[in-house]
Amino acid sequence: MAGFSTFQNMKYTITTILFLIASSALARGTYQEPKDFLNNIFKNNPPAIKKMWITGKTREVVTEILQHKPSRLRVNYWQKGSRSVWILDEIGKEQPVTAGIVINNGKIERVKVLIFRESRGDEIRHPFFVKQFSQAALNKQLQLDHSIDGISGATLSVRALTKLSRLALYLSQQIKP
Amino acid sequence: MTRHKKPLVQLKSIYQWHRYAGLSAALFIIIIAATGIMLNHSSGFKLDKIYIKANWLLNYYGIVAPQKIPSFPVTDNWVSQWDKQLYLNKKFIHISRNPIIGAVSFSNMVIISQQSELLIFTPSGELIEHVTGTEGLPSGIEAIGVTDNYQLAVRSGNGIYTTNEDFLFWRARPSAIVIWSDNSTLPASTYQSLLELYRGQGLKLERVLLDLHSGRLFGNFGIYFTDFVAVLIIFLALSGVWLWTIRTLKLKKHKRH
Repeated sequence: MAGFSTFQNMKYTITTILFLIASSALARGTYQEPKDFLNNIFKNNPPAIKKMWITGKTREVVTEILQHKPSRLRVNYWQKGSRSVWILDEIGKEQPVTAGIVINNGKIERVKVLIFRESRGDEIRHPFFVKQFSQAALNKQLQLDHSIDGISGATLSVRALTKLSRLALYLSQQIKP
Repeated sequence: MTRHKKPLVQLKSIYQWHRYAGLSAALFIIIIAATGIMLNHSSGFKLDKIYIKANWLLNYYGIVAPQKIPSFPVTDNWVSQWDKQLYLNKKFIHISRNPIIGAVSFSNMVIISQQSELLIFTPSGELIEHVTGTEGLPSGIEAIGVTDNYQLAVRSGNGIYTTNEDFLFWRARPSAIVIWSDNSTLPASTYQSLLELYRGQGLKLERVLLDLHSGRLFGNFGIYFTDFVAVLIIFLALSGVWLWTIRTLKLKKHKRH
């Protein structure tokens, strides 16, 4: 009986380890290609790309939002009327999270995690979480006017996505409709 | 008489063994305890941010140059890739998981090409942006170059494409005359400086402390030796408790008499 119990324990341990390995591998992935996201937002007719330089005062504010210098000097965006779409990267723990953010009239219309490269914290891609960003705007302190509930075990990913949302809102304020 | 002497001899013997074991293990206990404390506060001490510079230790760990170092001359500069690290001359500029295919100087920018992405840098090595398929970049890039009429060009399986200065529109130009970026050998002095830089980023203090703590720094012998020290520590703890118990009991007995 003791031997059988040990065997059972080993079986459970191995199953748990395999499950953990599989779930960390599943966390990483491209959930939607940026191109497909744009086609989806603009109904297969995306406008031409525009570019914005992150220099001078903009760079200072971006540095304040990200709490580090921006990793690049120029970002792309797509604009049609009052809507603009931003595809941005920010490091969660060690790897960048790529998100597509739609801004409409100074408010977030949609946030979608497009590529997640970390081994943990991919819960941020689920609709129950990203829904919280809907209709959020930027206040004078460059913070979201909505509070965002965190997810235990995904703190850094939540922080990265919140920073990207604030960044997209700020950058959208720098363009003319 | 003999009934009294025997335990005394045994006690003396345990005392001696306890003392010898303590003396022999002292240095190793200090090393294990000190490294243990440091590893317990690894992030506080920033052990994963401190890199080992000592050549003998880097050699000991076998940290050598990668077998392949793609290197491309860009006007008076050199772009090279050491594993995942990209360098512009002797300056580290970026981490790139994919191999680089070529690099050119274009419109006061340094353009580095990978199979499905262009990395655009300022001449001082600051990243301006990534250009990918989302921006219309052809996929499966095999080469990058500049045409005779000064346009940036890439060659993929489908032919040659050129673009404008914003990298927004890619046009097929099958008959374009292009000077392609070619892999070349780094100048010896640049290679030597980069080798030092690369090796300097190869070994973290945290790794060395972990290996010292577990004994792995000295191979299999180190592991077994650490096991032996652990057994000594167990012996010290047990013999210490034993000696203290015997002594306390004796003292109590002595007081009663």
